[in-house]
Amino acid sequence: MKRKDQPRMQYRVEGDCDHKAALIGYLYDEATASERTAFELHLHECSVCSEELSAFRRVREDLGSWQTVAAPRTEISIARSPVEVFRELIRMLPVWTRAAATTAIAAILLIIVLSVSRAHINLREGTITFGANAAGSQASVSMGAAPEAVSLTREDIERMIDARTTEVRASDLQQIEELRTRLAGLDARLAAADRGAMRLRAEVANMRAEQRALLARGQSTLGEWLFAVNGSREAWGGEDERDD
Amino acid sequence: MDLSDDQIIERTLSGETEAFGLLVRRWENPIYGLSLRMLGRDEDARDVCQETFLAAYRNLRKFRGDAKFSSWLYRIALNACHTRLRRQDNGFAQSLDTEDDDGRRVEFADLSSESASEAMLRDQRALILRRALQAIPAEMRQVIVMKEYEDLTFAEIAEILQIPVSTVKSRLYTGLQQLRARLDHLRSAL
Ligand SMILES: [Zn+2]
Repeated sequence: MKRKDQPRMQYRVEGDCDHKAALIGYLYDEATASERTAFELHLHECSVCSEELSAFRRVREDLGSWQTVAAPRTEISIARSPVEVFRELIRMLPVWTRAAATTAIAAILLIIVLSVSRAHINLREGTITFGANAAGSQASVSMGAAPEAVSLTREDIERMIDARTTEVRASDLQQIEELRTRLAGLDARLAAADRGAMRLRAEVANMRAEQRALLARGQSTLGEWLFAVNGSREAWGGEDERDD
Repeated sequence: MDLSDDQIIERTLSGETEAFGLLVRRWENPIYGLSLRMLGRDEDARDVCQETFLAAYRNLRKFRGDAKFSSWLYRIALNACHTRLRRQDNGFAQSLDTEDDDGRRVEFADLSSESASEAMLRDQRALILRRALQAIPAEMRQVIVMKEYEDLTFAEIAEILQIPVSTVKSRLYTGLQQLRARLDHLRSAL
């Protein structure tokens, strides 16, 4: 086999036809109906194009002989960029704040952890190592499989924490505002209830007074009756004594 | 209901990074196929495939939905292919001269249903085609590969390469002419 030969046939067809674009559109079936018709008419009178067309069709058949298997599964160790992992971490701040007194304290703790020590934080997808750069104030963040470590400057981290803290604080303020409104509503209801209770109390007092008045009247009546009875007994006794 | 590429990108960017895996599964076959036909070697194609998705992931924020995601992805893959081709500079001369390009990447589909000689002929035809394709300039090859194997329209190819449709057509024409010459030459050399 003489592979080093240069191609001998060059197919530089003499009388080069200027219907190349039309031929390609026709060959790949990307021509409009009118373009098709026009080119088919042209084919009848142009041997260059008709020869080229059938040659190109044969080439396309050859091209079809190279079929590939499905791609091997692409494994990319992307996981997430350190910056994204960090953002996710920052998103967890409100949870941390339950333990810490304020977000500010949590943020300060995090900065201390990042800049002073080496912290190993386990997230769902493997271990993330936050290692402090001994040389300076840069806290570099590297991730398990990721080959290239992206560095976050301390300013970056502080900015992210600041943003998150502001966000959390804003939602806290909103909650406080909501609570205040609800409390005011309850206060109003309580005041209304108080007024009702006062009315009831007055009513009860009135009724008691009425009852007392009635009872008093009943007692005097009874006394009068008792007095009357006693009187008659005395009278009877007088009679008895008289009989003895 | 399948998520669109743009929806998956949105999810990925909003922190649901696992979603990117869906894009990999969706596009790895076309990207692998493109790379394989551009480079001719399975290992290279795998590498480019991996590089492409990694680069896409890292630059996802830079992807603005003005183009199709697939176009952007194809462009990244083609750039990676060209970088490799430049690196191995005279690679095409090698692929023509090296006898032991063992063709193990050529698929022998369903050998049992045809005779051994038919399979051999088919294999030979595919081998010649591969060599011819590797022999033409990458600029022409990429257009032919995208049209023939990726089934893209002229307009889509134009978008990927950021060239006019008319240039796509003329490159296809020239590419097919050169491929035809190469094929005839290789056949006559057998
Ligand atoms: Zn013509």
